[in-house]
Formats: sequence, C-alpha cells, structure tokens
Amino acid sequence: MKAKHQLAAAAVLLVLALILPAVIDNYWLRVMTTVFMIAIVAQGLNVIVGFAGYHAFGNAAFFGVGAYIAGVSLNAQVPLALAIVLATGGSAVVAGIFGWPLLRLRGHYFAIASVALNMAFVEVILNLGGVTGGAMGLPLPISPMPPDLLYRMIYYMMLGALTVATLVVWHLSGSRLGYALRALRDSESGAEVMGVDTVKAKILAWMISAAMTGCAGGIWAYWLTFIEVGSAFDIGISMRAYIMMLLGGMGTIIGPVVGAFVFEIVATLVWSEFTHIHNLLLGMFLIAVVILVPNGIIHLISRASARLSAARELRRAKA
Amino acid sequence: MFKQVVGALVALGMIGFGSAADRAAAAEKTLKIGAAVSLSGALSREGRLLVEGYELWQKKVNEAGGIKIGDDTYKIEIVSYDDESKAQTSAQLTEKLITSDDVSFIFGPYSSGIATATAVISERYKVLTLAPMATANSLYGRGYKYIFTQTPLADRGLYPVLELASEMDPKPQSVAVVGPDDLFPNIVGDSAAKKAEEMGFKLVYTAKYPKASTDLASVATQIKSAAPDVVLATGYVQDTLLLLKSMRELKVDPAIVGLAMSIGIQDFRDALGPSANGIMGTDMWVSTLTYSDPVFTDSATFAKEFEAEYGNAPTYHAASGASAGVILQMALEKAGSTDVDKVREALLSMEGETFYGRFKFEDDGTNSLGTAAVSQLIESDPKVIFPPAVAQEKALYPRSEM
Repeated sequence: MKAKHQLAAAAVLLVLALILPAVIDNYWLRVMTTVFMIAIVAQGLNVIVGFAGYHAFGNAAFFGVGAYIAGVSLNAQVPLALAIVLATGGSAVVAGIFGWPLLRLRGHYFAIASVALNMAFVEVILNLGGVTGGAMGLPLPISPMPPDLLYRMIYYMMLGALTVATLVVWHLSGSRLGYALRALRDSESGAEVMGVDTVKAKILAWMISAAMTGCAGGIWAYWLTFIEVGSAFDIGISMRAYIMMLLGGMGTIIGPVVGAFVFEIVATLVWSEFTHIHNLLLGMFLIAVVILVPNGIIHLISRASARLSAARELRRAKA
Repeated sequence: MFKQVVGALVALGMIGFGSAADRAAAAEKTLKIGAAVSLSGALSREGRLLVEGYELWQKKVNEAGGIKIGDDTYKIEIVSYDDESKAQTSAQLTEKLITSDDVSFIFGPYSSGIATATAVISERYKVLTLAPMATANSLYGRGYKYIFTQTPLADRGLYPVLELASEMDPKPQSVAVVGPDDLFPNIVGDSAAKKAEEMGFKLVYTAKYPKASTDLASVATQIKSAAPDVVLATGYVQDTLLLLKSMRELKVDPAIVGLAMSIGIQDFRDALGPSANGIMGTDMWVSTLTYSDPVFTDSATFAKEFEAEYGNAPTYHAASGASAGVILQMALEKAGSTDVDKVREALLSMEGETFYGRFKFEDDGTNSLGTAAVSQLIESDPKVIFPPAVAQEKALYPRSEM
C-alpha cells in the first residue's frame, strides 16, 4: 500500500476513533484505550525494528521508564501534562545514553542486550527504593474526576499519542533519516560506504522509539494508579507489541496500528467467551497468522489490490 | 483501502453486538457477583484455590434455595474471568464486570498489587469488593470506602509467632528476620522486626535477599554468626525451602523457626521431609478452628465438603474465599437490599463470625477481630499450637535439630 493510501485509511480510522466514545460503554472504552496504548508501543518498535532492522525485544524497558518517570513526577505534584512530557523525553534520553554502547551490537546480540537492559532496570528500581517505591510498588495520586469523564480523557490522551506516533512514522518514512535507516537495515556497511552516519541514525531511531514507548508508559501509569516493576517492565508488553507489528506489517505506516487493533480485539473476544481455554485459542490464532499472513495485513492488502488491478488490466487487454 | 474501512466497520459492529448481548439477560432474581482472579500466569495456583472457595459458597447457597434479601430470594451467579496475573488485564476485566456485566459486588483478586489497581476502579463506580487475600496495608491506607478484607493485614503476619515465643519457657532472647525483597514479605518482615523489639526481644539480624535468589548460603552463614534464638522467615515456598536447607547444612539451629506464609502448603512440607520437624508458621486458617456459621457450620465441615467437591484438601486461600461469600451473604441479609451503600453500612455495623474467624469491620475496610493461628510440624503433620483456645498440641520447644 502506498503511503498516501495508508494515510487516508489512518484518517478514516482516526475519525471513527474520535466519535467512538459517544457510542461505546466504559468497558469497550477501556479495551480501545488498551488497543491504542499497545499500538503506540508497536509503533515504537516499528521505528527501531521495521525501519532500522534492530530487534529491540526489550523495548518494554522504556515503557517502564516512562511509567516510573510519570509516577514519580505525579507524586511530586507535577501537573499531568508535564509529567507525560517528562516521561516521553526522559525515555528518549535514556535510550540515547544506552543506545550509544548497545547499538554497536548487531543482530541477535543487540536483541539480547535490549532484553538485558529491561532486566537491569527492574533491578535498579528494586534497589533504588525511595521515591520509586522499590519492591513495594508505587501508588499514584487518584484523580477525583468521575469515571465516565476520566476514562474518556485517558482514551483521548492515548489516541492523541498514537496519532502523533503515527504521524512521526509517516514523516520518517519519507525523510532523510528514514531512508538512512532502511539503507542500514538492508546493509549496514553498505550504508556507511554511501556516507550514512549509521551510529547517529540508529541512536536517533531508538530515541524516537523510546519516546513513543515511554509516553504510552506514562499515560498507563496515570491510568492504572499503581505500578510495580513486574507490570511496568513486563517483557510481555514488548512481545505482544512485536506480534502486532508483524501481524499488521512492519516497516509500514499503519501496519502496527491495524495489527494492534485486530490482535487486541480478537484476544478480548476470545477472553470473554472462553474463560478457560483463551490462551490456547489465542496461540492457535497466532500460528494461523504466521502461516497465512507472514508479511502482515497491510502487505496482504497491497498484494491483493495489486493482483486485482493486474487482473483488470489483463481483462482490458484481452477485450 | 476499501477493505480496511470495511474491516474497521465490521469490528465496530462486533463491539456494538458484544455489549448489547451482555446487557440482555437478567430479569429473574439472580444476584451477579464478579470475580476477576488469576487462573493463568504466575499466581494461577493461588488464584484457582481462591475461586474454588468462592464457587463452593455459591453452590452451597444455591442448593439451599438462595439468599433471602428483603422480600425476595436471590440465586447467586458468580461471573469469573482470568486476569492472567496481570494488573492491566485485571483492571480491564473489573471494568467489564462493572459496566458490561452490571455487577454491584466483586470478589477480589489474590494479589495485593493487582487489587490495588482494581480497587480504584470499583471505588470510582461505588462497587463493593471483598478481597479476602489482598492484605497489603497500603491498600487499606488509601481512603477507599468500598473494599473489605476479613484476613489480618500483612503487617500482622508474624505477630502470632512472636506472641507464642514470648510465652515459652525459657523465653527466647534474640530474633532474626529474613526474607525476599518484595511487597508482601517486606511488610511482614519490617513490622515483625519492629514488634519484636517492642516486645523486648533483641533484634540481632535482618536481611532482604533478591526475590529470585538461588543461593542463600551467605544469609544462613550470617544467621549462624548472629546466633538468634528465633528465626523468622517471610519468604515464599521456593526461597524458604532454600533458606531452610542452607541452614541445615550449616547446622544453624535456633529454638524457634517461624514462617510467614509457607507452612500451610502441602508441597512445602513434602519437600522438607522429616527434617522439617518443629518448624512453625502462621496459618490464616486451619481445619480445626472452632468458629461457626450458618452456611458451612464449621471448619471441619467446610474442609470435608471442599474435598468432596474438588478432590483435595482446602488451603487458607479457599477458606478465605468461601468465608468472604458468607460475610457478604450476612451483610445482604441484614441490609435487606442489594443497594451497595446499604450493604456497606450493614457490613460496618455487624460483628459476627464465619468458620474462618470472627469479624468486625473498621471504616478502612480491615477486620479488627481478625486473628491467625500458629501451626507446627510435629512428626511431619501440621498441628495447631497457638492460640491456646484452638490448639491441638503443646508447642515443641526448643525444636529438635534440623
């Protein structure tokens, strides 16, 4: 699918998402907020994995970093908007600092190092104690807003963050940095020879990725009002986002968003209908996806529409 | 492009359909109670035991014809979901229970961390939660009005062992407190250390080891050099096993070894074998307790019925779950209404007992009459030794060598 088409589809989805809270109940509102949250994480992965080709399995580290920065800030009476900005920026800075040494590793070495980074953060928070709450977890201030209003506000915060993240990816796909990243994904030494500053490009990509992930983590912390290292640095967050990115199509603009939507809605429906075997059914769904749509939904759609127009051409030629 | 739009519309349609279907049903007199508990993931074992307790209560009530609330008789329907041991999932399911399934009452999850994330939601919607196993003090210090637990809070976890120790002759003098660095163990350990000093014991050693430690020989060595009369361990099953084995290898031999949470678990006792003789620990519930209630009669009957239903002996998790049901039932009957605020008022004004123990709730949702027993492994069997009112045997003191 061309970038133009993807953007048009994204605009339609955005309009639907904007009016959705008027027609759904609070449970589905929460489900959709979760979809947006995990879609932001998937979009973050898209930047570092889909564009740069660096498999950051441990990207949940920045989700946790963002959550803790927001949590500590909110407890220090920092206003919500500023706390989210700090979470976003702070995560990017952390990625910049650790990206410098870690992004020198390639392939699975980097993937493992990113997971190790995630685990290291868990230990750091546990041992820091103090304002982070350490092993006791961190309770956040509770908003006095009524649930209908509060949860709609959080919904729009997540949606806003996702929109910005998607616009960033769109901008990236046509920018100099985007081309540099794709070049280094295909051949890092090749890109270097062509004059791409690969170290700078990779670090920038990871910082963008971390900013998105950290922003999602920050809003999540405010939403949940209680964070623990186990839930904030859950490697499952990265894994789920990874699957969604693959499902939608990595390296595309709206692939991760579509993947997140499909995966999360299927998971939620399976959940509520099959309480005892939901993990089994979800596993089967994933296997089916990997076999049937290995390149993601967006690629599938592009291929199908290409085939359609080819058939049309053929018919016209025959006539 | 076209397909994407159609896909989005279909998905939206599914959403609408899902919630409409959920809103239907109801009409006959059934009281729905929600339960989002861990049935998969790290806490699945404890979660399942808890749910079995809830469900046994449901079965008993429905077999007896239901609960009489005001002029109506209600059957109970527990709507349960699996929170996968994740706070995020549990929050989502709590929202579902409240807004889609329309429950006004919830039986809480196993973990305090998860309950802290869900309590804020039920609080906002004014839905009453009974959380028999979520006992972290922090949860009840947040000013919530709609969450209650009948189990003594975590900070009191080792008080019964200390009280027992102070009644021994000769009275032990020194205490060591060790445990993993984690939410629950920290609360239990810190307050036990403080209480021990208040009670006149000398605190000679405290340690917090990383949660996933695979070698506790250094902790055991430190305990040996501090030579306390009482060792209190706040850990979970795996690390406590490791600690006790390391202590045995190093021949550390205190007069009392008291555990905060593992003694009631069969696998734990099996893994230790005969060397466990004399180890004691806090038990939230044992089948020899003599409290009674109209639903389960007493603990022995509960244990028998539980075993008949599920094929294995109940643990305190299951007992706490079933008794939470009994407490809710009593409050509903007293309130004569299913209105949440009336039930809450009834709960706050009551003083009573279930087979699990006595209860009188404070404004913060805690039970001021909650107590725990101390069991000791005597010839590999857990025997209640404290408090004296329910004791089966005299305490083995000082315990024989490990």
